[in-house]
Amino acid sequence: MIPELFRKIALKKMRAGFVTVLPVLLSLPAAAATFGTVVVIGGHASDIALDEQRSRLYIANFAGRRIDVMSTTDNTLRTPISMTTVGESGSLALSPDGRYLLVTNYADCPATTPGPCTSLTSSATPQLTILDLQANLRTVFPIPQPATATTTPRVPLAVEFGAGSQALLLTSSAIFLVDPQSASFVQLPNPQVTVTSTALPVPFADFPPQILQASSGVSGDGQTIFVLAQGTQPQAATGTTPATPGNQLLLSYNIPSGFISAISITSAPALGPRVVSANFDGSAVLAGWSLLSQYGLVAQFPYPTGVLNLGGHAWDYSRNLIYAQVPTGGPGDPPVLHVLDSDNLTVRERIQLPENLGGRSVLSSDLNTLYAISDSGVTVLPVGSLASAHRVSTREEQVLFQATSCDNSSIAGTLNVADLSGGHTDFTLSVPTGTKGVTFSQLSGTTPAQIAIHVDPTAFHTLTGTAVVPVTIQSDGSIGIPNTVRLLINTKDPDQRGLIHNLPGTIVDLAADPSRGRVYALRQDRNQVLVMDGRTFGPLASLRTGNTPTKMAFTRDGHFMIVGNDNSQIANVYDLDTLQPSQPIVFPGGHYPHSIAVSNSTMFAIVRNAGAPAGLIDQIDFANRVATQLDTLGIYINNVPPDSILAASPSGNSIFTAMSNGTVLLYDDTYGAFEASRKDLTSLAGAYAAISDDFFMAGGQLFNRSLVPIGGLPNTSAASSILISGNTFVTVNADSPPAPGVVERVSTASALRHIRSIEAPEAKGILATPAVGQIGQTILPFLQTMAPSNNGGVLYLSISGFTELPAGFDQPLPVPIIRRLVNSADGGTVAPGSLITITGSGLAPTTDSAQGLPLPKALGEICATANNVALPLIQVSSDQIDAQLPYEVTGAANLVIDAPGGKSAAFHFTAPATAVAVFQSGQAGDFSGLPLIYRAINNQLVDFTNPIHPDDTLFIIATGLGQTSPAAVSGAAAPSDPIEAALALPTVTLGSAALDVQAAGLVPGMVGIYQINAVVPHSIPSGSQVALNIQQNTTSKTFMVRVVNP
Amino acid sequence: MIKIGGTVKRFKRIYIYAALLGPLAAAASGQEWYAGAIGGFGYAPSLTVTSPSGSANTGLSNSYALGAYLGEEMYNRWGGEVRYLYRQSDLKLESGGTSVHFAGHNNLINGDFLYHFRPRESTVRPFIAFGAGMEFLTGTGAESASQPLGKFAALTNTRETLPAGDVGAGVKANFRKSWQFRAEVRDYISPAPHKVIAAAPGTSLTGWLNDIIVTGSIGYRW
Repeated sequence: MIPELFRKIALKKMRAGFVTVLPVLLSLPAAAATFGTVVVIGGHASDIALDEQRSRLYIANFAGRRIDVMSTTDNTLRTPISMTTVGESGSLALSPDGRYLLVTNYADCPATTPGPCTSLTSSATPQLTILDLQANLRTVFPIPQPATATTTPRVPLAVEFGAGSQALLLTSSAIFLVDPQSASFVQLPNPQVTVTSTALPVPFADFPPQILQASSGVSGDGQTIFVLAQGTQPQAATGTTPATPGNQLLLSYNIPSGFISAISITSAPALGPRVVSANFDGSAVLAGWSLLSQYGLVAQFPYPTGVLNLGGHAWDYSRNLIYAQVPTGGPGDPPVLHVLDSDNLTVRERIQLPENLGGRSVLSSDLNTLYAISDSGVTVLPVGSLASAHRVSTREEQVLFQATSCDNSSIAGTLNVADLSGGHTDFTLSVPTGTKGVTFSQLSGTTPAQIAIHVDPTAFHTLTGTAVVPVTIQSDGSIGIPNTVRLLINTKDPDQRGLIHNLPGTIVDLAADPSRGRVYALRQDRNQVLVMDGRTFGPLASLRTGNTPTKMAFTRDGHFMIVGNDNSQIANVYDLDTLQPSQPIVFPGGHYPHSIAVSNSTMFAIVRNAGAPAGLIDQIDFANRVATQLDTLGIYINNVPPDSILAASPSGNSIFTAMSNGTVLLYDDTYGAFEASRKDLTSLAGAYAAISDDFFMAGGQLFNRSLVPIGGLPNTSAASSILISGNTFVTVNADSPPAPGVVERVSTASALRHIRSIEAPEAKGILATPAVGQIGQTILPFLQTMAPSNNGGVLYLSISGFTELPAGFDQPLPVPIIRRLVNSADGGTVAPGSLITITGSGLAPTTDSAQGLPLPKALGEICATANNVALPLIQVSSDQIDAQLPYEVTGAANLVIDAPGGKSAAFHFTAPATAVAVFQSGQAGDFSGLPLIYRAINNQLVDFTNPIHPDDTLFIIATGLGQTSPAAVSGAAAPSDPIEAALALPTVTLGSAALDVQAAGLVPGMVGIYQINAVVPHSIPSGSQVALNIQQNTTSKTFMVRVVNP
Repeated sequence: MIKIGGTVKRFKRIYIYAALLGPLAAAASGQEWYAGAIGGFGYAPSLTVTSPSGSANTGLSNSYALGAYLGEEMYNRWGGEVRYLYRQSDLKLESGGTSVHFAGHNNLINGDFLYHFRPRESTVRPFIAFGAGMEFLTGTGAESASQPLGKFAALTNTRETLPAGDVGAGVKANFRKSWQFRAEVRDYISPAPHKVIAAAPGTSLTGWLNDIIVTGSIGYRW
């Protein structure tokens, strides 16, 4: 009732020329925050023009047959401009000097039934109204009959000014240049166009974009005018050769040169929303849902509905962003503004709108305010202040929890919830009903908040794999839509091999570049290639792709990477030496490259075809960066399922094609012929490879050179991946996630060895998730998710990112043997909290280091306990482990290491309450092995050239000072407030002089490292070898230092 | 630094007292007094630090010197004077193409006998001088744990007092009635420092530190 009541009031006020601003209404019900202010005009806007000189927005009110005027100062409606013409107010244009406002009327194009406007009544006269805003004059001009048209109506559909003095006027049968000063209409001879619109009357609930079906836009520099319209068959520029038939027409008029071009576009669905936006220099244009540039369709919205009157967009060329609402047609499909990168339509943010946009949007000249036609009239969006608007987000995209066989205590993780504007905004977290074993320190609160998450590993212990728990974030105060966060909970048995590398996102392809020491991962949801160091897997760079990248390929010389995209009609090319983009490969219209293979003399691409057939094989001319459709594939028809896959053999002599319908195809590069094709199977999916020129594999099936199936690889399901490794292959299977994967080294006939991996590999069923807004997702049934690692091992994409298997991962492992346990500072006695070093053999199957704090209790596939308390681990290798002795371990104790090779024998040791040990790892100038004793005055190590002076404050860095107050937590970073002080204060002497020990406690932010602050007295003897003694309880350490007085 | 400055101030105070008392004494005895200001340049040959693995040169860098003197010619050819010099003397340590410089200075105060080869009335009077005194060598640079060549010696921010003898020769030239110009060279000889320039354990720094300072001065006689 309230909305209805409001509507009546609003209409009443509007008729009286008063203000109607929707947020008053929106504040009544409890709803999520939205971005923008709706100004209700009453009726439906068909076009807008911004008059910044007069602080006005002119709104063509189509059915209302008037121009509504909105003040941009306070977003209120002022007295409208009534139109005296018969037809509806269709399109507006304001001259760049602000003097003339041109208004088209939609003429009088009657039809007995709804349909295209094909003829005018004899009395109808299409007109253009020229309003002189300076002289306050109104002149109405009939639109001339086109020179070549006879019965074709000349209904005006769009009028637009650029930076010139003449406006471009598109009618249904001709294009004119209109000079408002002289009131002259000059028809452009070419191109001759036939543009359709909808005849009136129309059924209820039809809107101006559905009637006009035309819209115009201008480049940022004002030099190029674009018009998108519904055109049936434009003629080529010569007027003699018919151009390619199309159902839409994109006109581009360059003002300085006077050149106009027409591009015919066939699309399904139609290019809706019927809006056109351009970049600054007019070299790229977003027409409906497709982004066009000199390379053709470089990106498109992945899920367009084609509805003409829903949505809109504008190009912010100063920020390289596009603000767009392009509905997905999904369930509910609320009005959401996408903030997108302007080169490939990568979704950066999703913003909640108060209502659907529905037509043209105009940015203010400072690009800070966006005026957009919307359902109720106009929505004003202060995009320049978007950064300061409340938008709740999380720092982490996913949080990984890894349980160990050494520790059943809860695993802690952290989720940081923040408002990107830096503000304080409410939020709530939720997990699916029935989720057990996961607790949050708070489920609601105000940003910024650091949420502590605890996972009870016993609740997931039976998985021996990785479970995914989605965390949904909601906020009433946030205009941004927070993304869902994944909690990844991994439990494993000691025999499960591999190290998980946490890499969020939809990773659809993985490739190694051993010669450059790199690994490439294709992240589809962000449209980028992640370039990582091949040993540390740290990020090196990211390369921007087209929209929804699907596969990577490499030229034979390894110089270039080629990436196919499912929502771009180009394949991206990158120079791998410079990691810079190279000129892309342009595909024929409607062809979206999926999979690319490179042989010695040619390149092929499987493309999704917008027309029929649904899939094709194109040949790539790499030198000219262009692809062409093959008429036939030798003796075969060029018709393949679009989700087929190509693989070149290692020699480059063969290209193998596997199709989801079970068909296989072989191209022999030596003879340049598609020489074999068979279909002995009903379907194929999963792993694929051109193993050699004689053997090929797809979906676990082996094929010979004639593509005859010769057998199946054992235990290789459709969801597996394969890696060629010498004369054998390594395969990985996903049994039934979240159960672990099975990794096998196999020959062509039998499994040689197999092991269980720490988590399951990626598979189509895991990668495919519900679509989020206009973030593309195209998961092909064929996967190649394994790559060799730089250290001789294997990488494979897995649930949490990717899993690293060390070299010789399937070799038998020795049982670990512990030989020595000392503190890491001086090799002496250990105490609770000490940093310790364990030496021995077979301690860990791989080398690994902790990546952050708190320290993990499992690292490099091993864990260790002392008196059954898990040790926080710093780094592990086969012969040495660096760790912290837990504070709980004191007195006589047993140390045990649990590794894939088995459990070590217990190592007995004794840990007194304290055992101070100063680190002796200092190095300065010509000296090494220096004790870590620093002079505060210059923060440098004490040595012969930096002697101790009277009144110096010394910082002594040590371990083994035992328990603290407040009690320290094993493996966790020590806090700075309060300082965790040693329970037993040490004494420090220099020669015979006692130093004033001011503090002794854990160094904030560090684990197991203590600092003793001591002040040297004013009166001390000089000497080049003076004894500095540190004593705590019964342990003392002495160092000879140089003292200079004064 | 404050303490070092204090030392300089004390010396200045001594000279002020001497300047006040000098004329009275001269008037009483009829002997000739003189005082003047000095400017010059010091050159100090390097000392050698030796270690089993090699050697390094160390010592004072060449630089300017400023000072003053007050003297009395008690006899026709013999005189005596007290002489103060501030010698800018950064410390240096050099070996194998690597060199380290460390800010420092030296305060020298000496009492000397002068023998003139011509009588007092002569316009030009060559002379020789010898005497003894003290050097106050101070290192003022910033110490560093990673000072290069630290295996040979450490250049240290501290001060050190050294006995110093000096010998020299020069010439006085009288002009107008009471003014005098002097040019001379002195060699200040002291033991090698061991604190400001500290030899590293296992190395040795021995010998005498010669600081040869050439000066010119303007004086007034009464």
